[in-house]
Amino acid sequence: MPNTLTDLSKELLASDSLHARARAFVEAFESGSAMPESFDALAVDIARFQCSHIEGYARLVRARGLSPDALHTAAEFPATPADAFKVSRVFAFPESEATATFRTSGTTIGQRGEHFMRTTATYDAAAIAFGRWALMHDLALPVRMAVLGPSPTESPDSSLTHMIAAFFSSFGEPSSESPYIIEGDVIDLARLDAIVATLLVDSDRPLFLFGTSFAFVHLLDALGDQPFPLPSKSRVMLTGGTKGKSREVSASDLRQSLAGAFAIDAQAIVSEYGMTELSSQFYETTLRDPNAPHGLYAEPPWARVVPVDPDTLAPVAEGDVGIARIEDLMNIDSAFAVLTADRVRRVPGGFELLGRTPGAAPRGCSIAIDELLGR
Amino acid sequence: MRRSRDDRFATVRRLVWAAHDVVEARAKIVDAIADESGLSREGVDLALREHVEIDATDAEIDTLVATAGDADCVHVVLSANVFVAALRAIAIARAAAPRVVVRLSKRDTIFASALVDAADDPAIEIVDAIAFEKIRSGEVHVYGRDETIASIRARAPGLVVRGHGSGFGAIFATNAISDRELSRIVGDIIVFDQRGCLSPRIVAVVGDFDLAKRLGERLASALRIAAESVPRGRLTDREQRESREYIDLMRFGGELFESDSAVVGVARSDAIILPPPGRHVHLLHAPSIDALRNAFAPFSRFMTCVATDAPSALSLTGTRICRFGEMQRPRLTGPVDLRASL
Repeated sequence: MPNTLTDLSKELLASDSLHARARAFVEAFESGSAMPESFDALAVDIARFQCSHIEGYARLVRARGLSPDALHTAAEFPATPADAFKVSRVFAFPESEATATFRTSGTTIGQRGEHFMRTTATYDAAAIAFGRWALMHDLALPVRMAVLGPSPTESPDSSLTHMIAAFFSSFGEPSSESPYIIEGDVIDLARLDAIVATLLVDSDRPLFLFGTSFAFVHLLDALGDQPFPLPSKSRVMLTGGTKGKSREVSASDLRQSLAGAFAIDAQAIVSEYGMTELSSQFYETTLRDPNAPHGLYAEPPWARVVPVDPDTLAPVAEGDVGIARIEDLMNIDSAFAVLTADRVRRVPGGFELLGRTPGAAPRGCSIAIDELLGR
Repeated sequence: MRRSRDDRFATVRRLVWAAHDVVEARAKIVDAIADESGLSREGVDLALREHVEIDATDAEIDTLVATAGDADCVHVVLSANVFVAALRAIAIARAAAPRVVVRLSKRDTIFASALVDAADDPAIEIVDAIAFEKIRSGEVHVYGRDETIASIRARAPGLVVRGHGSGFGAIFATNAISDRELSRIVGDIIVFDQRGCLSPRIVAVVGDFDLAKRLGERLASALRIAAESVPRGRLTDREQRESREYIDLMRFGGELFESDSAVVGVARSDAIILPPPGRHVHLLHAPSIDALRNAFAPFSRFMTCVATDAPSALSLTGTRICRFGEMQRPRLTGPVDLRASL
């Protein structure tokens, strides 16, 4: 932590410089240019910065017997456990400098993880750039959007809500009607119906519908057996699973049900994989490649998903399953590498997401942390 | 035909005597239980010597009989890890019913088998499997994970299924802990290597971080000394992985005291983290007992037992409240899990 104003200024300048270098990755991606520097060069500088300014991370590095100055690749630095966001401060600036705080889902009991951000500009730039690539590349923009979720006013600490709001600002068609069609816990089907009707009347323009998987399950429940055809070329982005919710539905079943109800191609339904603890997102690629399978996620050039052995934390062999160590160059002021409990496998074109680490082996009456926290 | 109180009492007393015989002759089974359970030989011996309810009084057995219910047959599904729990589970079933059918956990067969053999009660039968779908009457008592209970309940519609699910224990300390109290707390932690639903895996103190840190250091030292006489057994692969994860987490967000035989993590925040079994203790602090109670409130349905120096200040519905050192020594008066049956 800085001791003087000068220390603070230096710290913020160092952070600003790293943000600028990170945004240069995004700008190069958007312009189709070569990346301005290697992933490892920026990753190592971010990791060293975090070692200097986040006490917990410095302790973790020291405990491994590592010296940041002697490390020259991202892989050499330990990843921050995702749960660290629940128990500790994972940010490299004074709390008073935070402009946004994203919190992990409140659906599980216990402490919510907190991701403090000094600025959301880098997050926004990356989210918009990769969202455009994965979801919007063939759409005439702006596009009419609807969100099966709360507005940023209702849910100011949700990174997902923030990201969708950023999409709306960049890609959304302005409208007098709010795009948020859930108020409280209630889906306003009439509003969604009115939006769709308007689009169908006005030259069959598409709708982009966003939401969590579970919100879509609720929507299907509300629709019952009634079809709810969307305009042609409409598409859906959904995120999160339904495990632990009141009704569990497999991703495949949900996709098929949505495709049927909306009368759209299943390839137009794309899953996003993201975490509050990260600043980058990952998408299925079916909108870019109709032959791509569902379950295959692509990374932007500023993030990589490395399957690691859960015991040794070393990368597993190509094609083997490991838990996801996610290196995210946009996470400048928090954790450039986050260790998750999600199982992943590298495949050509990206990675497969295989769900959470399986529940604890039977333990008799001793409860497992997975059960306790509903992870 | 309803059974008399005397008949029920006698069958339970016979089981307790049988348990006494098994404990007396424990040298014959200690190694086998150690192999099966993963506990150290000394850990098994400790559990048999001090944690089988062979000193149950008549009054306690009377209470157990009075609350056991009444059924024509009870099927009992035992869980793994706390092998001595077979006595209580079978005693409750036998008090309730003239016929008891027991399915053992595949990972805890020896003590329960020895107990049933020693009881020589023709009304108690051990089976390899139970066809729950075919049971037409009586009760099923299930000890184990919530998922196991739900699965059995689904297979036995219409039957009374009494489920005793997963849980954990915690310690709430409102005052400074003496060396004597610390020793008792260590006793609660080390038996069964914390794999029981009564085992304390969280210690919560009223005070600041420095106080918690000092206690963490003392606790780690006491656990290390205790391991010289009662070594920790082997950890499963998953426990080893969770241990590594917990250690990393506490390196990041707390203070860590670790040895070859135990890990104590002292949290800087009041976040409730459940460390893995195998002598891992998460130590957190809060400014008041009310703050502690509030922090634990969302977890109350998982909390089987709390040991505290301020029992009157706690009101946790369904959680057994006791003094330090008594978490793993519940009297033989009925189920240890006082939470609503799942």
